[in-house]
Amino acid sequence: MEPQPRDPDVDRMLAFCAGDADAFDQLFERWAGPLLRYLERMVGDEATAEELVQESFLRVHGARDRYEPRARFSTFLYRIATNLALNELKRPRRVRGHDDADDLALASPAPAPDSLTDDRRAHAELVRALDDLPERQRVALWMSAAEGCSHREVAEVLGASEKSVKALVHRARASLVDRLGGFGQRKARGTSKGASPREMDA
Amino acid sequence: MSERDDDTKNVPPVSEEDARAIDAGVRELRDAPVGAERMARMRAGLDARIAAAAAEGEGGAPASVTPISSHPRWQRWAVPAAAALAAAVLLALLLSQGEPEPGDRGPIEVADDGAPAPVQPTPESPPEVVPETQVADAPAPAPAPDVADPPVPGPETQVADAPAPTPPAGALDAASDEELAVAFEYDRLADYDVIAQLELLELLDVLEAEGSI
Repeated sequence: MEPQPRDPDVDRMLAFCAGDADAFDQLFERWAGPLLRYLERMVGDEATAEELVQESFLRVHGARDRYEPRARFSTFLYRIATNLALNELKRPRRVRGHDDADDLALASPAPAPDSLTDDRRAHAELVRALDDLPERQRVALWMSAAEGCSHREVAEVLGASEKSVKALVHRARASLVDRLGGFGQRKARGTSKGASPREMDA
Repeated sequence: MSERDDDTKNVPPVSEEDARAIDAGVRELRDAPVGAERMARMRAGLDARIAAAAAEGEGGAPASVTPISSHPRWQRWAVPAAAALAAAVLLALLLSQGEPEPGDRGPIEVADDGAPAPVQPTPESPPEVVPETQVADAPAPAPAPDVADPPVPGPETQVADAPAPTPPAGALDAASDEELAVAFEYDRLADYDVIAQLELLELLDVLEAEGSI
């Protein structure tokens, strides 16, 4: 699969492959944060997530001699990270560290003061509901909703069919809606942040 | 891929509004800023790992790295498997060629060698050669042409090719119509073929004994 519009991160990766060390730094700066949040949701442990971020970028670094731009850089990176996370989850379960809503408040973008409580609660519920999803549903929903990946790209990460990915995303959303009830209404009432920085970039 | 992944029959529909809200919530989780301290810690850890990997593999990827775009695992076995298969086929071909043709192979070797060879079966050896039953056991009496075609045409193959499956003239003269009809059947012709070859071999033996050959 070749990237449709030219992915600037693919260009950075190619530059890194050609010897530009700054390009690797830029990739890390841009993707370490989102990848950390993803891996936190996947493994449920902050320290483990940090280790996996390092391991993911180590593998990106090690792949510089054989990298081929077959997909978006994010697909390449998340595929590595997802494999690492799924392998990590096969190990004996570690202590999950995200049941505390205070952590989430710190991790969330600053909301308007008058809606802080509702927003924190809604995010805490969302995090718990996400953590309780089956792993593949969690991956599919995150990649689709957070990263804006197509079903095809998610299928490539998961090694599944596009049809399966579509079903996984649907099941994940349905589970969250069932679990969270009026999450949409509370979000609409509580915050007005709406668009992510990525959307604003676009 | 499990069947459950594809199954959405019992899953309730999700409204557009709910789907948008869920997706927006997930996006906010993704975009939650990571503190500079954590970023610096991860970067330092990464740099240390890169340095360790470089020291370990002299700049190459560490041994534990799984290449994302590597060939599927089965391809790594394809070449050895194909080689093994080819070897097996070759062995089977060699065995089928080297398999003793009970009716004619042994006697031909005896006739060609003249002197007793170490491998040469004796007429009293356990696998006693009885032409009629062995021809009947092997329904296709074509091994002689089959074997004779591929190899280099030596005296053996020439001998095997030479006798056409024609019965001795005397036998045909004395046979009744019924016997002829039966004789024209495939197996009978094969019998004649074997007998003719045996007679020819005997003749060759005699000629050899007399020194005519």
